[in-house]
Amino acid sequence: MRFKLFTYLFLLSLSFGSSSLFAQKVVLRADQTNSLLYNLEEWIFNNANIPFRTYDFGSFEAYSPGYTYGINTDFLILIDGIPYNSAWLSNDYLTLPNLNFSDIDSVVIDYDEHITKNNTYPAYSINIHTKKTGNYISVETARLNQINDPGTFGGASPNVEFVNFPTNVMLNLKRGNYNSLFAFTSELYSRTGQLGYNKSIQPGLFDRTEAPFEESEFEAQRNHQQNFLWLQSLTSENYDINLMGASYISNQFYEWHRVSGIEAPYSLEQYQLSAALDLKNSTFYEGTNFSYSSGVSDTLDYKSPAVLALSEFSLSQSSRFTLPLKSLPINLTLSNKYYSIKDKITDSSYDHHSYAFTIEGFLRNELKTKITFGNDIQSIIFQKPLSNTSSLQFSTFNQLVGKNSYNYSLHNRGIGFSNLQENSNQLINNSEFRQAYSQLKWLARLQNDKHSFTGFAFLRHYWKLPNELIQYTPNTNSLQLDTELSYFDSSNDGLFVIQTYLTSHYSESLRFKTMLGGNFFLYGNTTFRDHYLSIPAITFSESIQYIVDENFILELFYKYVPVRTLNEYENLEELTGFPPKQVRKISMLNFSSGMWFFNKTLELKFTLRNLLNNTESYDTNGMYYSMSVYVSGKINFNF
Amino acid sequence: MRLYFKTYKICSVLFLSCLTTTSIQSQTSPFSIIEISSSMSSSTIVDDNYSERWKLSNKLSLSVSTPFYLGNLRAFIDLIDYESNDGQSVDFNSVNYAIGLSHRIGFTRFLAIDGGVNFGIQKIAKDIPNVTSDSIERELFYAFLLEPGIRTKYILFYGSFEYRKIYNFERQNLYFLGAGIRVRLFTPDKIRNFID
Repeated sequence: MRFKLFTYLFLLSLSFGSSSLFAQKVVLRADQTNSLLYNLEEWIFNNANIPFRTYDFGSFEAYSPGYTYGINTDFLILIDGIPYNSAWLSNDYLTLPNLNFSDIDSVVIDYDEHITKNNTYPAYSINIHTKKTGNYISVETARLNQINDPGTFGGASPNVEFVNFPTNVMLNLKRGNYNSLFAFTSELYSRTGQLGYNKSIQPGLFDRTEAPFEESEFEAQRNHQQNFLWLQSLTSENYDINLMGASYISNQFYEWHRVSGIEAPYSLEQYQLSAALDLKNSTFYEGTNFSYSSGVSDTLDYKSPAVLALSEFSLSQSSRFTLPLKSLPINLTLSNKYYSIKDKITDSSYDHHSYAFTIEGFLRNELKTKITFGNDIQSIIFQKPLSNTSSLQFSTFNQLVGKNSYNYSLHNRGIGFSNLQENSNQLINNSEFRQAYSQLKWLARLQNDKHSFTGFAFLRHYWKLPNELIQYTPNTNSLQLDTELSYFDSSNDGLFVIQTYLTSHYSESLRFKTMLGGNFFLYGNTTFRDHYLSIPAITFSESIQYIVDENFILELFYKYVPVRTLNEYENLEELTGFPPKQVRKISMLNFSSGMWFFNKTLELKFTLRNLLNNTESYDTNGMYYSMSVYVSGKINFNF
Repeated sequence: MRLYFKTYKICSVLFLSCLTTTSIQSQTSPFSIIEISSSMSSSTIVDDNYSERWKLSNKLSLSVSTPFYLGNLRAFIDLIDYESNDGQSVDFNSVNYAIGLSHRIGFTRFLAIDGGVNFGIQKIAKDIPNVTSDSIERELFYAFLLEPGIRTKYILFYGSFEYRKIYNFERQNLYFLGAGIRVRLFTPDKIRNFID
């Protein structure tokens, strides 16, 4: 059924003519979309058709095409080309400053596996480009409110007065070659996992983080996160210098702690500082990136046990060189990263230094080659054009992932898991923590007057792959679930992945965008296959935009994600009935309008989300969303 | 089957919205006119679980509208009180605000009918002991409007019929029947250009 549906949607997306160039980047233009989404992360993922898992739209596990063990979100995030640390305290979940998408110029998703500046492993990247046009200040506030409130009936259903309350302020100052951008963003949203939130499901676990304010016992608790971002650039004929400072602060954060089987209330502060130098006319040294990042979390002591009291520190740099050999330039990148984390409760610590260098060039005229060698990663990639619209790529990767594995590396050292109980939280390790795979990838970009198509497909064979299994069991004598976390290796597993993006415009006022992705398990270990059921096999989305006037836009956005299975909830479902292991399909239709007044000074947006009113949930232990209304007002001043 | 029915319903609403706004598109340029309306309507709630407990007061409504590309853009605010009629339920005051698109079809120089769709929020404040909720509550609604009227250059007297659905956990379906007066102001070019 999935293949039939996929084939139909794929043929639908290919029905057009072609010509033109090759590349494999997906560019999201902020001015070509209108539908308000929960925050910038969801805006990027939905508009790029990237599937994700989330409890509450506050933090995301985004699935990149294929599968990468131990790195839940292996997209590298860059803001204006500078690496942005989007995950803290070794947590893989991705969070970004919630910039209003109308304040950014574009987002480029690069589906080439490569070492992106300060990172020492190859990955896909998401590069957010801000607007740097003149002097302006913008202030935005919005409310997202969902239906099914109890109304005049008091206790018919819980009243969540608003699902999200985002605010953001952006100031850009430009003078000559200097540009300074300051952004402050804040989100206040309904909090995470039902097991720690919903009293009727697991009263014991709910007690763990029951409202900390005694006088308002029933007040809905929310997560509150604030980001500050500073970008400074200096451009000249010979060089670009970019600086970035960023902070993330959450005084009250609730997060479902998967391995411990408990909800953790904690505070979090994170700071980072990055610098990038790019030389434009150099024949040898091209530039350097440098990043410093530190974070600290403290448990909010509502009821014992304490969970997260950590501090971390990372320092990374990479430098790029060009070697002009045989008239074909060879690019060389040297990168290294030092990472350290300490648990303040157990006084345990862990540090790791990773390094890698990459050589990139042409073996022959058209055979592009990229070789990476490091202490954690070795890879080789060959790419050859088939025509001026498509090319073929072969690559092989060998990666030691034990050092990057959050659960294994830290759990094993007693870092971040100080609340684990000897008898009820088991760690079984039978893995080398090494993944090795080869893949054959076809990629294409076609374009004509009315249509633009970008797509790629690959077959991947895993020679070796570590697998992680979590199983929960209820424990009536404890404030946390019993968990069993086991690791084992599998070999000879196969995947097939395809991603297609088609944009069409039939007139200046009507635009269509069709996106289709497929991620299929082909052969191999049954446990890995079962795990793979948690990743959406198909993701499809369509947007239709009607531009009535430059000051008035209407848009319909539809997204489909099929049923998924989260086997980690199998025992819980059998024994307690919640959470179910099967995640409902997502079939979501949004209608939105955007209006601009006073020469674009005032921007009003209105989105009816989930018009079909199908329950929307991306993890059965997470939040369940109904139809909602999203209203946003923004003031822009140019000076 | 349920999904298809829902899709059909939503497409019908969107189609009707487009129909009311495109096929009879206003020839007047955006913001060239501002109309201020005031009306009073009798309210009926058809759902038994509500009507057994509460009687609705007349709806007092104020709206401002202006031509906006596909029709008339309108902003509404209205007040409705929920008065207990079983002696046990608590009284509520509601403030409802909405925006919508409508269009006017002129039959003769003096007769016209306005039709449109609104989306809005019903805000109620609750102060009930032992209720496990936030005390302020806002809920989504949509409404269809029909307003036949007699017009002059500056004033329009109109009858008002409205169906409104409020998306509480227990849905509210309301009908309103009433009358109102609308005053038309012509916007000077300077102000119109400033707003646009």
